[in-house]
Amino acid sequence: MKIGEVLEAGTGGFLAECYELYSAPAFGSLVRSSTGNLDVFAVVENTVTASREPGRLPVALGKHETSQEDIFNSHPQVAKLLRTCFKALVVGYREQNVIKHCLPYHTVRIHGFVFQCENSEVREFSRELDFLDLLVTASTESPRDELISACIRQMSLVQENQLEFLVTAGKTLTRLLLYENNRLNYLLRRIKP
Amino acid sequence: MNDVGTDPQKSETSGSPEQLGMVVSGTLTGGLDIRLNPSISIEEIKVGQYVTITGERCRFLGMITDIKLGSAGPNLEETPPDVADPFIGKIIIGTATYGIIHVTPMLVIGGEVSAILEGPQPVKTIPGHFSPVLTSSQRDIDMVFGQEDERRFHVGNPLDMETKICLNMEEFIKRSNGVFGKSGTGKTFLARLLLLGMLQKGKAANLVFDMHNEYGWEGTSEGRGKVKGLKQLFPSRVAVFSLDEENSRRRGVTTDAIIKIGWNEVEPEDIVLLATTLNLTETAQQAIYQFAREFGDSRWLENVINFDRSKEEGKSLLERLNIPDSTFRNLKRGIDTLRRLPFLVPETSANSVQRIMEHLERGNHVVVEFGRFNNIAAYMLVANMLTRRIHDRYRENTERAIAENKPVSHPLVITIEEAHKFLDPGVADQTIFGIIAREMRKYNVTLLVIDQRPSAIDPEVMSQIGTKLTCLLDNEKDVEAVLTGVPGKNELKAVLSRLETRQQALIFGHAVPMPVVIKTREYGTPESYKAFGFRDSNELKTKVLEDKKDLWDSL
Repeated sequence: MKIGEVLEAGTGGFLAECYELYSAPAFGSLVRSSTGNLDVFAVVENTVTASREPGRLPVALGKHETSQEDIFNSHPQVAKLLRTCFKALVVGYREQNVIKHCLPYHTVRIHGFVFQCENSEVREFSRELDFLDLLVTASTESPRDELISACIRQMSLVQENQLEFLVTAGKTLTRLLLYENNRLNYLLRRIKP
Repeated sequence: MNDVGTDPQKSETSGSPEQLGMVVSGTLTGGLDIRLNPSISIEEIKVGQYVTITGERCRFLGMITDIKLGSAGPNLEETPPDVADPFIGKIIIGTATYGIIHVTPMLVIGGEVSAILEGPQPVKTIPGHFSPVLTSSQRDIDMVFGQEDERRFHVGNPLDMETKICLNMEEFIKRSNGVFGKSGTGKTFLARLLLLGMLQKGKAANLVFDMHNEYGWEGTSEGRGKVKGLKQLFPSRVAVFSLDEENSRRRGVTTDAIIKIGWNEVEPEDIVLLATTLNLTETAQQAIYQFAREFGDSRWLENVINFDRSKEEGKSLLERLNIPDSTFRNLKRGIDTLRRLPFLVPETSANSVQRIMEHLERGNHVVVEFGRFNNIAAYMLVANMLTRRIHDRYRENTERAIAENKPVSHPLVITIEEAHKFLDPGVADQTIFGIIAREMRKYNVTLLVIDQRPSAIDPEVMSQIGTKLTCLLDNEKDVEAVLTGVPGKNELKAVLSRLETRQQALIFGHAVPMPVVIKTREYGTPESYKAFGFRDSNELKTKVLEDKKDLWDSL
């Protein structure tokens, strides 16, 4: 499902705007964009909904309204003045139907479409969990370990054997974080079903 | 055997052996460390089990000698994860924590040219890093220990396996052997099995000094009551000689002869050997020889027993022989202890030695039962006396046979219990058993020593023992004594001290290609007797009828 377009692209991640206000994919979910013949996969790491004009903050409008929806109904222009953007961390790419869990050699393109990955795509991507290595060392805007646990939980929702997937992910994290015991313990508690 | 081992990667298994892990480090002398696969529970692993390691060019057979716990992270002990939670436990175990098994490589089975042509070879190298390690298949074990045939006797099974471990009895009887283990661990049980093996496969005659009446007619088994002895299983091939007629009759034992020993048959050495047991001083031992010089080897005991020192004649004799009165009293007290033994009589016409020899020359087993006289003095006296005479006869016969270029007589195995009393460093060079252990292999006479204190046996004798079968030993000195000179001693120590208290034994030495822990074969049930070839009277009757029918039909 097409959900938005790339506004800013880098090797390690990209910023995308959603077509619909508040319709950003879930924190930690897998999205896909492309560049040439590469499909680039990324994990949604930070979502921001704000004014389209950076210097112009929205003002409070609902003093006389009974519900939040009523504000938008009474001021239909407001929705057009706001936008929802999300930042995604690149965790792998697909080239000629082969998925690789490393950074692609090209960045995604500006105005490249961003798609929410289908369940089958998520399953295919998460057959191996090497991408977790990129996440545990990434610098992120939102708390990194929250992102890792959210990503694992999101992916587990579409697996045929959810528990087995979580255990495998836990084991991968254990191998990656052997020297960071406290962090590992925290993450394991967070992914526990 | 030659077709296997050409391709180390080829599966040579019947069934599918489980992959245990992979080699991560090790040395040839110190053994290999194997990291266990996370799917294997460390509690399934036991020391003494066999593993097969598939190297690049050879396959290796080794024994698990130690088990350790390893952890990948440095701080795991300080901040352990919450493994009480099953989910976290499942993740951590096998990943951050893992099992390590220590394996002592023993043999190369296939791969090398010599191993293909000549069977398993001693290990001279080790497998490379990350070589896969599997539980040994039945076929691997069969390849090493051979299958039961006319020479090999099934003594038991390796731990957790159905494969039979067979001892090559022909090789076994070529050297003196030992059965060790602390009290109640199954020495008698194991020795009985070995005697049966020798009877069936070894073609050896056996002279058993049966101190506690366990081997001849029937023995006792803890928890099972009475078990059949050798005579009941093979009546035509076993003769039971008894020192205690009354006791034998009471127990319903069919004896072949009663042994009586005449005073004239007791030589000075027989008593000197008992010096410690009879509490004889050094000077009293000297006095024995002085009496023997005075009265001759066959009359000295009679003279000491009948000696009356109140008479003038007696006093003057002691003075002439320069024996102080106190020394004589010490000697007399010791001799009187023996005199109370009813089988020791002033004179006897029966030549027990001759009758025993006749049986042994026919290749039969002879079990000497001691009845109630199972004190160590009686046992040592009789065992030593009979053995010395039988040994002399055997040696003469063998030398004559060699001179006349005739086939030498049956190999003879002499079985003694409480062996440390005979083979103690202080007396081992005086007793006939010490001599047999050291020299008699050339004359086809060997020992089967059964003992619970191997550390008390002369180290020189211990070093001559070919195959050792050891049940649980936990005394440090005993373990040390048994394992002296054995490659991989430290590793085997761990195995030995962790044997179960019953029905388990570690076998190593001449008759086995590599050390092996066995669960001893079942003995004492009707099925087990049948497996030894025993048939009860009904079966024999049916067999006779069948044979008769076959005979008439064929006519």
